[in-house]
Amino acid sequence: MRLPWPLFLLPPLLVSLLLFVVPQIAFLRSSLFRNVGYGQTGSTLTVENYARFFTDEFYQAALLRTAALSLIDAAVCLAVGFPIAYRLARSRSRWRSTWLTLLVASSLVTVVIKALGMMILLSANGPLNQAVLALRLVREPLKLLNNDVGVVLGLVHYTLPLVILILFSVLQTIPEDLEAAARTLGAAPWRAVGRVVLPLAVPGLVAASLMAFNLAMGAFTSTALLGGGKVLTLPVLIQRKVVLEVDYPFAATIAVVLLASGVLLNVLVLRMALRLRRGAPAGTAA
Amino acid sequence: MKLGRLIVTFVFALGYGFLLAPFLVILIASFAGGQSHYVVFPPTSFSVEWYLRLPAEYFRPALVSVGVALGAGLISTVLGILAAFALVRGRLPGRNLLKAYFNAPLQIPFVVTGIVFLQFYYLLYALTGARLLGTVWGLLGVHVFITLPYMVGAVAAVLERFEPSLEEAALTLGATRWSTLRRVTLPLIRPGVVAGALYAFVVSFGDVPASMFVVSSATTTLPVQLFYALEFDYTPALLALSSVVVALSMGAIFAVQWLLGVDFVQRGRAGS
Amino acid sequence: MASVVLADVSKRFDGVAAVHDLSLEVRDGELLTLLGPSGCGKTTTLRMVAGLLQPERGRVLIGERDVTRVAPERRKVGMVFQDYALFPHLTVTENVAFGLRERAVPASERERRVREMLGLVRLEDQAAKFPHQLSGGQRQRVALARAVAYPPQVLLMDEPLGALDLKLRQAMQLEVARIQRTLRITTLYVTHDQEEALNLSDRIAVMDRGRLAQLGTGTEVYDRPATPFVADFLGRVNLIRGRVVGREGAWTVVRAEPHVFRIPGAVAVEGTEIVVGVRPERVRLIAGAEPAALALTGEVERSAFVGSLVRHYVRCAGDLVITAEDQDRKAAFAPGQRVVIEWDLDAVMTWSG
Repeated sequence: MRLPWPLFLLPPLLVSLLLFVVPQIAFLRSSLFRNVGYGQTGSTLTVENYARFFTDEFYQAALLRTAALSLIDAAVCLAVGFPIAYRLARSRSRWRSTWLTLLVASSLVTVVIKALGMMILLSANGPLNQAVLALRLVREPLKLLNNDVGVVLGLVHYTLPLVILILFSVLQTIPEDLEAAARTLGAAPWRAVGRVVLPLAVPGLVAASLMAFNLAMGAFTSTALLGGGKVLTLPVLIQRKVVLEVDYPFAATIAVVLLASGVLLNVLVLRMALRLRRGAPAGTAA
Repeated sequence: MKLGRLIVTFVFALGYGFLLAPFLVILIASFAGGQSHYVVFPPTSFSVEWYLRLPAEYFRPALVSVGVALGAGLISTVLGILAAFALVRGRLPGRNLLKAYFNAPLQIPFVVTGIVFLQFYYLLYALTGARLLGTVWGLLGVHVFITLPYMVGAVAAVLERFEPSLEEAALTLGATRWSTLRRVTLPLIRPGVVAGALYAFVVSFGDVPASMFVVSSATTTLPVQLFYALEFDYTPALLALSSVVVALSMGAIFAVQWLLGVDFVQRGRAGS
Repeated sequence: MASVVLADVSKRFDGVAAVHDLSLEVRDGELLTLLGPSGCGKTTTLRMVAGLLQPERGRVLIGERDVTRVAPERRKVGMVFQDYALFPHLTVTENVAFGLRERAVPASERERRVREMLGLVRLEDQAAKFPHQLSGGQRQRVALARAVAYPPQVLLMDEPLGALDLKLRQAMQLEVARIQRTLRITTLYVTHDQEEALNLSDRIAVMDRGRLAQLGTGTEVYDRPATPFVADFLGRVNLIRGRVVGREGAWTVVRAEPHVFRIPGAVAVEGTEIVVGVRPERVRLIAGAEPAALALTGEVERSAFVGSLVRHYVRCAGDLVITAEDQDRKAAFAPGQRVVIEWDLDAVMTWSG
């Protein structure tokens, strides 16, 4: 049907140019100026903010920590998410859509409230510690808050539902008959998953883990609350630079490094994934 | 084989348990009696007193949150439908690039978005004298920015699976192009629109990091207020308040799924 | 090689019986077809032999061995799926070698075997391609080669030609028959296409709503169908429901309101409800003749030329339409012309109704 479709693009494009391109450019540009205090910036271009970031071990450690926590989050989400998504994708239960909606619902409740729940759950005298103490798995309550463990658990809670949903939609396009075929050819169920489902799900695995990684790299709310100000990731540092030190140029610098390192890793992973990819994409087996 | 199934079932239970546990402990703890200023779990006494004493200082932020989420949801819906149609039907050059562009706001950490807007509003004020910082309008701008990608994505996904023969059928039955759009196309993409709008609403309603820099004490949102409360002055009434928010958020999503039959999960064109 | 025995097998889905008390034997080396309309339980039966579905009751034996509770990977079956189920991420060679690798066949033997199989299905030159680079017929042959590569005791085929167009389907029928005879492998073949079944099978098992309606060779099933359903499903048939109202010498008189006609033999006692069937090619139309007593008459409504024969539709009183096929294509009738309907004496089939 022919309607003047391209004209439709104008209003959203204008709005997003105004809200997106203009402010971003202004902001990123500010990383190239010196902070002169009181929220003011100097007038000469300089790269000294970047020099400071990459010479100060504190910031390097923060970058590494942010990336490491995000990688752990992505790995945990894949390991836990794949079996769950697989079970959902192969389920014929009429409760399946309820399970799926539960994922959507839990992912959409505001992160603040999730973090509050996690704080109760993980506290020294919280239900989790009460349980492991009662089972005599440990003698001392586990320290799960205000440290890396708490932050990773918060990140997993944030990204796991989305990872499961992505993996589910990919696994669903892999015909069950492929597994049945593998079975009749002598493959045990786990071999059928390993030799057929897993290779065909690679695009989904890549997409899901990148999404988890990217969200974790940018996560602020749950990290700030569950890290208790002791786990300083780049997003937390950005907020501190603005709120505590009113240093916009350096906040912008951290933001640029955060974005750039994220983009870099995405490109690397995607290139690796492209090299791995063979044959037809999943779902075209006909 | 039995072992494999057992492991999968265990992981399934573990995963869902982990995802739902925080909401459950909040709900259970919210019914604790007594005045203690830390959480007692499990509660030693039962009472609904905190539900009767929901803190008044959260009413205004709640109102701001709902209002901004509705406003941003509505604006994003209109803009998102337009953009999705143009992207899917428009045969535009650089279509994939444009798609990536509309999705880009989600690639930027919301903390960064918040600070970008803070500076942008400063700049705007310096250049034009227009005051957006600390106003609802400024907040609305941020929220349109972060919700538009959801809307574009949701509608584009439905449009891409749309059967063109349905429109062709309407045209052969004598409908004009505009009335085909109105009577055939729009009703058929409604599930995508509803799902996208709900996503937009909930994302806007729940945001902290993008909003926290551009609100004033008069225009603060519910999640931002809660965030500062959790950092600085926790009271048990927050549990009751949070339970209400959780119930409303989850209730809304299940209601939309059951009443309108909207599927939030994209279905692949599965084989057999 | 081995035989397959199904003994009183039943399977339900959501409380609805898909297969009911089915007993069947596929003899060593034969090709037996499960024929029936969609939803008759033929694919369910096949999947129970493969082990992909578990029967609620009954037993499945492959070569004397009770495999009812044995997982598919331990059954030594090969299966060709409806949409082939080729692994899209593996080449033709890797697809065919899949089962050999799972069964830990040494690499050199594996290579030899794959080459042999690709030779058998004449795809040597496509070995390095991926499934999506092949035509439908080629994919079908890869699926077949993959299924028989590690010599299975039983070959199972689920509508393997269903996705192909008519010409290719006919060519592939010959191909399947050739390969099956070459390997002399016990084969259970599922189809809803009666011509395909007649073309390929040593014996045909016709299924009707989860039950075995008839088992026999093509000629047996076609010429002596056990039920009106079988007669109707294999080829065309004129079915007339009626009641035996009397005898007339060597004839039985049947009333099917408003008609009264006679059929040869003493079929049933008076008062019995019966179904009378006659194949269209055994019906003759006589124009301009005076109808004998107890004969059917009608008006020719339409004559259709369908290639090798002419098909006449005769409308009789009371909404009865009789189809007659004329392979000589000699007789011509004008629409509305009155005719007397006759049939060969040995052409009449009857069942209790």
